[in-house]
Amino acid sequence: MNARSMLKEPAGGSAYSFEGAATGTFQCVAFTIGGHHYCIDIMSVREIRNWTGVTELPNTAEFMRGVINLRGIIVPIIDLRARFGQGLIEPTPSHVVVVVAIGDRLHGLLVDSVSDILTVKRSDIAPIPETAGQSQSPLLDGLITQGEQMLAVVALERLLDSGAEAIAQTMRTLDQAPHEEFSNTVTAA
Amino acid sequence: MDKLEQFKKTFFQECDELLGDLESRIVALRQEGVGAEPLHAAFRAIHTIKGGAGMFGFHRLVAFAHLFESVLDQMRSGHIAAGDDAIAVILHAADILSDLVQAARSGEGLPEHHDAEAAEQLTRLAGLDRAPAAKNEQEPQVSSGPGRYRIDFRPHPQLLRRANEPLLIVRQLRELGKLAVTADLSRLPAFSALDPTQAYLAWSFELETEAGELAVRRIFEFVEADCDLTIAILGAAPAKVPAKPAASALRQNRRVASIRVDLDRIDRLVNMVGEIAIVQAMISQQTDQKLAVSHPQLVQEISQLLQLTQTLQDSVMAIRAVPVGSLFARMPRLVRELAAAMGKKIELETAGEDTEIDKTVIEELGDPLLHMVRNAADHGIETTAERLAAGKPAQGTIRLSAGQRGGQIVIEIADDGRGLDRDRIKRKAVERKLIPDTAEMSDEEITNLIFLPGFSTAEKVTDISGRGVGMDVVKRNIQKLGGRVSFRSEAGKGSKMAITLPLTLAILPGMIVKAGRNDYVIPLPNIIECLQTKPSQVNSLPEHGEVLHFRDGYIPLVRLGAVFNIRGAAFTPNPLAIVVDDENGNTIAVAVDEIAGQQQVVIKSLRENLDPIAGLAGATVLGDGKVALILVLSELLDLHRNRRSGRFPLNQAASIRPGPARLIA
Amino acid sequence: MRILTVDDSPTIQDMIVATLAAADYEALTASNGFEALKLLETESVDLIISDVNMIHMGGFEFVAKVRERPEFEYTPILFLTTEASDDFKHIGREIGATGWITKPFEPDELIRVIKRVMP
Repeated sequence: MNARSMLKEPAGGSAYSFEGAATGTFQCVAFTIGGHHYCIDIMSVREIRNWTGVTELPNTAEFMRGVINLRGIIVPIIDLRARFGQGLIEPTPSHVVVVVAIGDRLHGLLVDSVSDILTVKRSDIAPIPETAGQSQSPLLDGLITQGEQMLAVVALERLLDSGAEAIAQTMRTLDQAPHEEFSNTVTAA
Repeated sequence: MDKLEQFKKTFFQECDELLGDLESRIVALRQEGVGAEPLHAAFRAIHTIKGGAGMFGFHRLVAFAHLFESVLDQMRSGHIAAGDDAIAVILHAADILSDLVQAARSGEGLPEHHDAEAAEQLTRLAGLDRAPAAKNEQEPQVSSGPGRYRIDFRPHPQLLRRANEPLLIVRQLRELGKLAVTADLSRLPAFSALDPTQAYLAWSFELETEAGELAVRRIFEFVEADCDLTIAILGAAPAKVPAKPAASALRQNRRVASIRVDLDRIDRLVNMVGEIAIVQAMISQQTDQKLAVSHPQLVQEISQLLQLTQTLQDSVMAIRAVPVGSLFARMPRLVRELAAAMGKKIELETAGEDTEIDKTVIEELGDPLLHMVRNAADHGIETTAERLAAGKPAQGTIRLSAGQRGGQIVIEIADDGRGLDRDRIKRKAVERKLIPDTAEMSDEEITNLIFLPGFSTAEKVTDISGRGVGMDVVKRNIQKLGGRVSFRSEAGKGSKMAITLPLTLAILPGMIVKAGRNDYVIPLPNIIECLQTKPSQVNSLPEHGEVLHFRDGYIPLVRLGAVFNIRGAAFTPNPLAIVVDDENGNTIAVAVDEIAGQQQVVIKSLRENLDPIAGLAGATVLGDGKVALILVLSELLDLHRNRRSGRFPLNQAASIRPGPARLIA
Repeated sequence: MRILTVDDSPTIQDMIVATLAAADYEALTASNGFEALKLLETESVDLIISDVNMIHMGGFEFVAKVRERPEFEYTPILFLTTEASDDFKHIGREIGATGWITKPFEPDELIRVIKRVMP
């Protein structure tokens, strides 16, 4: 599989989970995980809450933390840090859960903190650069620069792909060597 | 008098409940015999109805109930056997009693002879010459006019032990008239030797009263056996009327352990909570993402409020949970009437009446169930002659049962009748142009033909089976509730119709347990025993993993922590074990870290946002807002075995439609 | 003064409570022995009135259990019964009951009997 072929041309609504191609701008919610910055299209975000604990589900991937009760609906929580391969931490009430709609389902994304709501021009989204020896990140759709900061756009609909590697990953033990990081801020899974 | 009307209302409600249970108790009586609980329960019910009726002066009802009670009492003492004839008389009497209660309630009279036949039957059964008058249980007040009495009273220690209090007795004597008291202190010891549980004092009284000797004696009736008492009449004395204490205004100062609530109030409550839910949805929409970022505290608190509202809604829904048994209540009478009208012998068995389900579902189920039972009685069970010819017992059985299985409510109507004649069905379907006559169909497909609209194999539509209600309507009604209907039949042996309903509307009595940091719910009816195991009880077998020595045998010990791969689950060599029946015929022990309690849980579906998870039926929200997962016991053993062989399911790897594998090459 | 009535007939409960309230007593109720015992774990009462024929736990058993608790050793207990036979009285006393009230009863009589065992 050629990493280069994974790069997609920015096109209206396909590689990127954004809508509103016509307007040329969209809003996204920016958040941080382990000092790295990310964002997701605000259209997917339903709610933002603090971490109040989960009930763990049986036999699920490590990044599937468990479920919470959201006003009577049972919502699964995905630990983005773990999903990005950066290990598992013990969340505290200061951690944040961003409840998003993926397809017709609700999920809660566990992040460190939510920082801001940004208005971004679609044309400002840059593709994720290739680095020799580093695998492409399927979980990210692109990069945005806001002033001094770089944010990676999260590909929501791919968070729960049942790739073989994902399964293999979860079967392995907790201790995983962190992946090689980019020189700036984005980490590939 | 207003209060009287209120009491009457309560009384009739109580009668409804008692009469509702009465039939099933009588049927159980026949099966279990005169020594068992159902007879006592039936007796108590009639006794209670009689007592209440007496208070309101419903004389006809009292008289009939008294007869009924006598028969049951004689059964209790073994003078009457619970044979078929006796049971038939009693069942009929129960129906008549119900009619009499309704008549008393509505105030409409019943024709003179309405209860005559039943009364006669009861009389004969009880071996009574004539219907005795209702027992006059109130002691007549015999007032023998004014008198003077001398009373000597020495309490024994037992008197005090039974919490009787001489002072109060003295006061009551004083209320009767003019009292002179002399105390005998001769046996009183020094203070330091005083034992408060002993009785040292005695008294002599002289009492002038108009109340009569009986009234005087009555004051001592509780303590007669615990004292030395003599009452001597001294002669007539001038009358003096004791002052009566002023009646005070009625104050309802009542604390109750349980309370009866009008159904209207509950429905209004449900509606109100429903409207709150709508407002909550609107608020939820208003709290947009910008607000969440700029006012996180406010949004958090709104979120908590909304969560509380959801819990409120769930709790209110739980109030409306009703045992399915209420649906089964009208069936026995129906079956009896059907059997009588058709000249067949049919017995109705019921099971699982305690299974609880939301009231609205119950209401929707009523008609379909009725129709299915009618079908079973009409088309299913053969005539006595046919049955005997087929080598079956003369009496056919219809079995109505409710239960939870694999995360659903299942209601089954089974009969041991003639089953489906598949050829006939197929022919009928072809006749009615529902299928082409060349169609090749499997047995199951033919069976399901009965669910097609316009299908009925009855030669003529009888009054009994009803008009215009086909199985298709039944099926649609069930599906509207989110359920399924299935039908299995074996020609000559019988049929079974099953209604399956999703648990989402349903309530479950559960035991809350902990493993790791999580709470789980084990369905209470499946629990056989809970025990703290000893290390010697837990062993490991090479092929089977851990087993628990339980009641002279060994059962698999399934550790939730292990089969669920729970992080942080404790591993103790001798854990807490909940021994359960796993619905598959196995007894297994489920090892948990802690037992947290028992409660009715409102079942929530996990399927809205998740793929199916092996071992879980659903979830519920506990009082503290935490999610507890409801276990599917029937899947635990498999998980246990698979785990041993290294296979265990990975749930939720693809919660959305999986795309092509695009990860690292 | 607080009075606990234990009876599985709501009609009886209603009537007793109304009578007690009219006489300025505080009335608590339970529908069966289990409920009553549970209630008595946290509430103190000055008198207990209990039916004899109850489904889940019979009146005698209930009273015996109440008497086992030291704090209720000297609490007056009255049985509510339709029969006051000698056998009944004997058993009742052995169990530790203070007295009895026969059903049906006049409200005045209930109060009179209560005053015989409770100030």
